[in-house]
Amino acid sequence: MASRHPPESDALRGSIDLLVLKALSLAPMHGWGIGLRIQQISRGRLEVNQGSLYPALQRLEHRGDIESAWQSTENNRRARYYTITRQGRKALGEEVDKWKRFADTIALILES
Amino acid sequence: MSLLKGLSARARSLLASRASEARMEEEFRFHIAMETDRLVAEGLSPAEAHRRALVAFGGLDHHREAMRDGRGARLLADFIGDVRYALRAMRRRPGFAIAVAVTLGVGIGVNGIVFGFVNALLFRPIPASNSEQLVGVFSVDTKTGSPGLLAYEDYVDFRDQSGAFSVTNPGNIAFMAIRPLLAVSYESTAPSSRSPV
Repeated sequence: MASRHPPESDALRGSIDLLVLKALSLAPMHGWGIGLRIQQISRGRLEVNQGSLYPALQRLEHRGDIESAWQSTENNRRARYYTITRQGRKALGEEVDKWKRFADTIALILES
Repeated sequence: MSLLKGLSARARSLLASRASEARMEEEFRFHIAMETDRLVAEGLSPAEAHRRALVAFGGLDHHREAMRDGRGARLLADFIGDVRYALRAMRRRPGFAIAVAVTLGVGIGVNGIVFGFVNALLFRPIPASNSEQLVGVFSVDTKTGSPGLLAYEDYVDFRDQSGAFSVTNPGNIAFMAIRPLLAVSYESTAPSSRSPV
């Protein structure tokens, strides 16, 4: 593995999965669109290599949280569109709950 | 259903690793093209836009390797999972596992024995020099057409008087392709002791 590109930490990798699921819960989208949407949602605060999305998409598809198919874009380009599955929505809900509980716990400790 | 879809996606990416590669390349190309278009729309020159799109993507080869690692890790993990599952099933029903093992063992063993016979009898030439010249001599009942045996004396007559056979002395040890280390020739004992009446 090239030292210029160290692998993402587990925490960041987990959050990429979560962000992808969140972005896809709104509407099906291709990889580039998912990246753009995550940037918009995070208001540009997340600095992620755009290419890192694709291993995450592959991982999620293997897990059955998303599925994909070729489709044409508005500009008549062929693109792989990703759709969240029912299992993916469930996983997203559970992850969001986990993050909220975690944030609540931290807030509780900091305010005591 | 999602689990099934996940499994089938997994199977597809295992079986069609070349298809996976082609799909990955097309997705990456599409991504770079879209990002380049977006940057051109912001007022950059096409060349500069393309350069920045590649930088933002962050190392094509790095991501290619990550995708391949993901597929490889999946393959290994699936294989280990299958082996674990098989072992668990065997431990849960040991009687059944033993029955299957014995059935397989007996089946393979019998198969091996039968093949050994057939191979030695039918497929391999008789272990003698010039074995293609060897013939079997039988008698046939001309009325019924059923084959019969041949008396030794008849054989001797055919051998000596028909002139159709070039006789290799069966008592001659050199006739055999397999050379015994120690042998006694019974050429002179067996036949000649039975002198014709």
